[in-house]
Amino acid sequence: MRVDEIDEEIDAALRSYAKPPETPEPRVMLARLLERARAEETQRRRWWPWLIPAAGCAAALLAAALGVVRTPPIPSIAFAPKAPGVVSIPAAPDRKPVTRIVARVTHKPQVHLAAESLPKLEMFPAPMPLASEEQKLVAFTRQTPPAVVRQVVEAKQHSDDPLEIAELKIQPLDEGDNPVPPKGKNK
Amino acid sequence: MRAHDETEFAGLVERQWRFAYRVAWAVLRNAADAEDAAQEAFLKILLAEAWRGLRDERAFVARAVWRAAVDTLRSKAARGSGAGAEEDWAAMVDDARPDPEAIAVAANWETAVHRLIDSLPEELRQPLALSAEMNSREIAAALGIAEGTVRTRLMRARQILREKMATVEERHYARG
Repeated sequence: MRVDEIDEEIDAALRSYAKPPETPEPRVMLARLLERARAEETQRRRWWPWLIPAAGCAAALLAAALGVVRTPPIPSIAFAPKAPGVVSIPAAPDRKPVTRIVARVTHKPQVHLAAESLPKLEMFPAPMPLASEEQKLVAFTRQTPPAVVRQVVEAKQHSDDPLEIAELKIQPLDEGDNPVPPKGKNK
Repeated sequence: MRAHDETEFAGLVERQWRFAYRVAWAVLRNAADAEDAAQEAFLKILLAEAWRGLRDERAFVARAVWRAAVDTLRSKAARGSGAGAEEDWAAMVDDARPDPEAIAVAANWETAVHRLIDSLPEELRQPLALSAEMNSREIAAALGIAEGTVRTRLMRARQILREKMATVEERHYARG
């Protein structure tokens, strides 16, 4: 069989291949489509009354969860050490916030204890161990005579000074070493 | 849905339903599945209100229907139905056995060619089947691929078909 004949057969077979046996009527299909669309819409609307309360519940739950996670900051007055000169003013008897503060402090005792257990430093900032370069410098100053150390220090201090170079003065050439013949004397 | 919208949508269905059904049929080759896929595509268009202001409604419908048809094809493949005939015929052509019984079963030549088209890989079969309804540009728009790719696939599909048809015919004559 030739290639042209095969192609013709393929085309003919394709036409019949792509042709459906019977196409449903568009109007019948339209009626079914609209019916399905209405059914879908009804199903959607069935959820609408539940949507708003559900959203409200979700928002409330979220707010509650956030409230649990975020604890309000503890006022600094609860941790402030009493200075001898400061007179504490008693709170008014009908003020409840004072009792609330005390209650919150009792919730976090470990934080308080950790702060108190740290040793009190006499020097600030705390002395640090010498670095290796610093240790070498100390050893050098101990072993070297003071005069040498002073010279080194002075040299170090003047190391940044600008260099002074003496002005160059070039002497003119001596005429006796290289005599120039006088012009016109040979005549 | 407002009356005006309904009329407008009805116009789209009237104009494009037959074409949509043919596209679905070319992909699915099953009347019930093709009808479902075409209906699904139109329903999506209706619910998304996508029929308004279409520049090329034929291309748009072709794309929507092809997607719905491919989804149906995938779900059928996942269920494991409809693969039998394809495999049988692919085996028949590729197999070196001299006397495939399936040729005798396929009484007329056109049916045999249909089975050979069915045995093509989907990426070649679909453009070839759609080429009876659409040109390369329209197929490219529907399948979401380049027009050059469509042409290449059509050429490859035809080449494979030619070779397979020649093989089947040789065997047919060899049987006498």
